[in-house]
Amino acid sequence: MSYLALYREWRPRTFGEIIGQDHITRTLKNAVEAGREGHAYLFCGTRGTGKTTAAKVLAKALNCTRREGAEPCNSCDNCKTINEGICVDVVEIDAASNRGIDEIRDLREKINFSPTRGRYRIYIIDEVHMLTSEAFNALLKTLEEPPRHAIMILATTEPHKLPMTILSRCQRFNFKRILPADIIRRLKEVAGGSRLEVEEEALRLIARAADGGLRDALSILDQGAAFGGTNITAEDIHSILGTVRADALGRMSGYLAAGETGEALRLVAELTDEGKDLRLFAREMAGYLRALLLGKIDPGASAGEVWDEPGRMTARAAEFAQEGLARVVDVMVRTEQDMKNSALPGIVLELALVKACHPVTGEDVASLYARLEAVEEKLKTLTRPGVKTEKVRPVPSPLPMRGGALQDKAKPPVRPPTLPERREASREVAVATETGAPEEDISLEQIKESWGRVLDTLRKERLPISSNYSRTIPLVVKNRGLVVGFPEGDTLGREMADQTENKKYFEELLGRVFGGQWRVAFMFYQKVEAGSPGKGPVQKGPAPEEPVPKTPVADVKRRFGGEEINLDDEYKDTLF
Amino acid sequence: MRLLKEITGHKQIVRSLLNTVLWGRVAHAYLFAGPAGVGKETTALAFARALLCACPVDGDACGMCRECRQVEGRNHPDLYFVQPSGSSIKIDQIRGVLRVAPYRPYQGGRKIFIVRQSDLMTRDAANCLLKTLEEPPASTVFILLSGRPQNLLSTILSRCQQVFFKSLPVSDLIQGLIDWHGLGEEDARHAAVLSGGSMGRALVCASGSQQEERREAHNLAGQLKECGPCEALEMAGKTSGNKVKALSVLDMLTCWYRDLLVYRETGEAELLFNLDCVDIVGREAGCYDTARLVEIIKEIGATKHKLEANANTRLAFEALFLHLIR
Repeated sequence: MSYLALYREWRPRTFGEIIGQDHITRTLKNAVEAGREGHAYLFCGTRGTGKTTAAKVLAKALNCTRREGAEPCNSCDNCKTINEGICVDVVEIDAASNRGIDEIRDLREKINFSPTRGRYRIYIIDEVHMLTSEAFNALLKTLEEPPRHAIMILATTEPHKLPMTILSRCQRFNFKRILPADIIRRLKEVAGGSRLEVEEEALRLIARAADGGLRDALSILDQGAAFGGTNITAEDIHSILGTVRADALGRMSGYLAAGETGEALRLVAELTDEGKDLRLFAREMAGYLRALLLGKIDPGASAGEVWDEPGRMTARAAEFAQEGLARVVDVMVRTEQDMKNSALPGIVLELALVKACHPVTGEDVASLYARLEAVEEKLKTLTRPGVKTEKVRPVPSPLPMRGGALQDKAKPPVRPPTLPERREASREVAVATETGAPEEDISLEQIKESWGRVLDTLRKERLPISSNYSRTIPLVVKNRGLVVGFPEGDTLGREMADQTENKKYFEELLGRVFGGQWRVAFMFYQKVEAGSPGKGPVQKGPAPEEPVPKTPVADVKRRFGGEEINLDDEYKDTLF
Repeated sequence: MRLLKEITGHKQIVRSLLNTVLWGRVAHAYLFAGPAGVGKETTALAFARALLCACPVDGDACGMCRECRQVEGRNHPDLYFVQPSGSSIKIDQIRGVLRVAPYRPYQGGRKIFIVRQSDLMTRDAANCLLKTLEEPPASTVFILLSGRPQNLLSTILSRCQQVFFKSLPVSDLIQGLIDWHGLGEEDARHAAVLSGGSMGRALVCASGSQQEERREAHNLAGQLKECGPCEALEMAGKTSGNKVKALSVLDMLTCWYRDLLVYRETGEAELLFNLDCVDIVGREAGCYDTARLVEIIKEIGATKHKLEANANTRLAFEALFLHLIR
């Protein structure tokens, strides 16, 4: 006789052996005992929870000749033949491979024959969700009023695929996922019966991996037996499932809590070397962190017990802040998803760990929140020196050159409206407005620091003109007036920048970056020759006031540079 | 054809399969799951041969008897293969399996069905197999192979003994490359590290052209850091000429920036993929900050996604490179 897998060998044969579905077995037992059995049942629930088994036990109970209470005896002829699957009165139909209307017509024809031995003819229609809609409809009338000797039991994992008309004709029983504790109990029974020694930790692992399906659990136990012989250790189960020990998960969660990216990446390398499946690790990690989160929210919950000892779980959970933990769970869950579709899952995981360790690199709300806090912190330290400088310095007189620069562009219409506006805006911000000079708080250094950012924004918003500004530098700042330097000779750039529209935009841009109302003037700066960089531009200030060259050739030369070449007379002749 | 004990890596899996045959605990359904190119089918064939062999030695096939030679020639009458016809495994193919399953084996003690890429079964086909997979006729063994077990129905999964093939550890890969493919130690090492644990990919990486491409990708990354938009667009044009090559360039760029990130965070050379240019990695890693590297890798991933969804290669590359030059 060939070997039978544990889940087939240990298929329950009585109601009492069916585990974790008391709400169903009790109802069925009472119905059988009272002789009030229905004519159509629907068993639904996830895989490995006992639907087919319950159907078979019910069939036996109904046809058994020596029933004790509601339980079948498993020793009379009827029970034996049903157990072997050769009973004529119990028909087990695979609806997934016989799903057409013809098969159902066949069933309707034969259902009228009375049973040969037992009291009932029982049809077990498994995987019933795969019937075609015509087949379902062909079944309706029979299902509603079958012959008195017929009972139909439908079993499926996907009850939502059945038409309402089918559902309303059946007594429906929902099979629950089996709790880890129940799975462990059953595993112990099976292990004892098959003379297998299994470690407690190994049982816990199997229960966790089975995820509520007893068949999965027994499959894993079977593999364990093939792997480790009669003595099954937690290590065996780990290597079968490709999972990692709980302490690796604990270590990783510690690194994540402490933000130690380097250590986390090293642990990943370690796992890779051991040949662990990183995708599985990501899933485990998500599950582990979720258990931590649940433990944190509701310390009494038992979510953590399948992972590790409760005390250790609580200690791990205490390392995290609640939002931080939620964020990390979120990152890991998404990572597991992403890894499925990636050719380089290792990189996806590493990236996610870096993200999880540094809240600042993420994009979700939680990490934005963390970034915002950091910015606020910085802002506090920034504003203080600003106030100080304002107190120390007297109200400055406007720089001569700024006036000069403003001369060439509509100075009278621009200036008066800006002043009151500026006041209004700044009054809301600081009391310092009373003095009429809040402008002092931005120094040239600060502007220089942020200059890259200004140019970046410019490039994003006004790509066509941005190249003109690429070589500019901020020269002088005072009272929210800024002098921007163009390199010597870049007349075109300067003139473009000086156009009203562009200038307005640039002022507004500065306002957005540094706050307040800005005025801008443009001028040239000399590169190295001017001894001190600060002074160079000031001396060079009068440059725009140079008289514009009169001749067209000189004008071209001024705008584009270059030199004049005299063409030879000979060429002149040949050319023209 | 290899024996079970000659399989590269997967020592534990091999051990448990050998025990299975030796102790007569052969289950009726197995699922061999794991990334492409790690040896699922090789193992499945070796296992099938051990199961069919007339005089197995210590759970492994003898390799001499008629059965073994027939399996090697792929003409054993009790060894069936099911594979996608077109883009999926259809219900009719599975019905064909169900039709032959109840018969006795012709000559060996067992009938073996190997289902390649079983995740490509249509929903109907998979459901059709369920009942038979749970309680097949005596002496029938199903071996399902799948690179994406997550796409299989959970009802299928729970009926099988699931054997997870993992990426091969670097040391096993190196050994395998040297023993079976005649590579030198140095080459084998580079290929193994770059392959991400797949023997198939390692063999591609070991071929000469791949090395060249890798160097080009690194140069590209270096240039992108410094050049302006015009050069970037020009490079995008050059790189995007061939879509297959473009995709592999993206992979290499990902590896490269990943190395920079890892080096930045840990400062350890052993963790790198590109072991032959540690000094360059060290130099380059200083030029970026962590957030930027994360952003870059994500950007490259997004571009790859777009290309796989049939975006215009050149446009996608231009967009990517313009991102990278900032």
